[in-house]
Amino acid sequence: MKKVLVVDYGVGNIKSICRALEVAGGQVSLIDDKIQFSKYTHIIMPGVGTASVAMDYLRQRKLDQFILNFANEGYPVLGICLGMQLFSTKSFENGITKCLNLIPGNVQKLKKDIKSPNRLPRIGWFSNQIIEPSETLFSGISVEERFYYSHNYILEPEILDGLIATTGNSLCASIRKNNVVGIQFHPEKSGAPGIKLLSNFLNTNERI
Amino acid sequence: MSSSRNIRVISRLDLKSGYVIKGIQMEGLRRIGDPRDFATKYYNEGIDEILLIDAVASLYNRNLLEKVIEEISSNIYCPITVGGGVRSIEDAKNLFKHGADKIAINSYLFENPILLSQLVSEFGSEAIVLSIEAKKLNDKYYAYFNSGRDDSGIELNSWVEKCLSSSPGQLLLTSVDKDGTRNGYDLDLLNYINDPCISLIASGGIGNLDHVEKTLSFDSVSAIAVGSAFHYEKLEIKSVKDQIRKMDFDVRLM
Repeated sequence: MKKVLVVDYGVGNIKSICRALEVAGGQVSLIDDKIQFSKYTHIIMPGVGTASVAMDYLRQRKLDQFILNFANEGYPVLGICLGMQLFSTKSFENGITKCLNLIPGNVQKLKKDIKSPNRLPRIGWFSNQIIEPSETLFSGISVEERFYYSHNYILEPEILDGLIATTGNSLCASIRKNNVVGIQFHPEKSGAPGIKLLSNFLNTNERI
Repeated sequence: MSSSRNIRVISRLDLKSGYVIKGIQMEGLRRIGDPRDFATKYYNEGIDEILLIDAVASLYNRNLLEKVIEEISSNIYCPITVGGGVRSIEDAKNLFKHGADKIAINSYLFENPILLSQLVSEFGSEAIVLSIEAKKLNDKYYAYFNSGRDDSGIELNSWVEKCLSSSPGQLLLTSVDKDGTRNGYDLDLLNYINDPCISLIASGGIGNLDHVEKTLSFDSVSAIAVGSAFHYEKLEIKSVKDQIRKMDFDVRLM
């Protein structure tokens, strides 16, 4: 059984990701205090709220340290939207927030792309360009599938080595550093392909 | 890779006492069915988002609404926006807790406009939709509230400009005059309103593919919200999306 821990930052809709993970085959628990991480096989950092509010919430409960320990032990960690942005070194959303530094880089506000008629925040079902075709997250998912994005900020990774996919004007759609992987879109809001992606994540080897 | 405009098709469900209701020009409400059935049907047909609007916003209705959001969000995997009667951060938190991804706010902003920037600070701009009800009087448009029942007396553009300074992520623009008529969206309204520069969702009056085409010909429009045309099966989601694709826009097809 895949025992997955979902980190709750105390704000926003957490129900949807929990539900989607159950449908994808996970046994979901919500983290709200220090827990024995050896009981769990996967961790999810969900996508709701803002960086400063989320990091405050994590730090107050020493959950930032917990997540770092979990990641350092080699367990699979998936960050979704804000969750991926919290892997950064720092985020410039609402001032400057020091983040977890699991995937070095900064989170910056999206700049208006003059070539694109789309408005910001970037909201909609968009396509990705797959840079790393061997990435297991996207196994069994057609390269043409669209995923739902809803964001005003983006992770700009320092090292492009683990880049999995881009979207729009070469924005980081997905990036991996060993057992830690992030996606900017919301799989729990992306229909069947999203559930498939979560199922692929849950089927990742339990420890690297 | 496409540099054409991305368009979303949204299903609008107005709710009272746990049922989907429909009115004409936001008056004269008729029950037309169970929101869970509509939401599931549209999700399976490829709808991009669901928009749930609480048309009554009483405490009793709020409890029913929460149950509806919970059930819909556990069965479908697309974004859900909920609006109607949001008066505080707590109200918004509560809606998110029950499964809303975005909240829309209108009426209470006339009493307390600061709430908008507080919501954006707390939840992020992409989670907050500024909802505006526009009604024409002589050659001007005015901002209405309370499901199109009350006139704020404030001219539309000045109200929109004031609200935009709080940085909501999207603008849901409902035409009070056209709502429920299936007579076409108010194109004069689209000409009149100053481009908000954020995603504009056009809601009210879309009844056929010609209306879809004319509404989307305005560069400011990023999404259309369709109510009774889908509920009464006057329009199909697939035909709407095919029309949008034919116009060379970037749209998700099933």
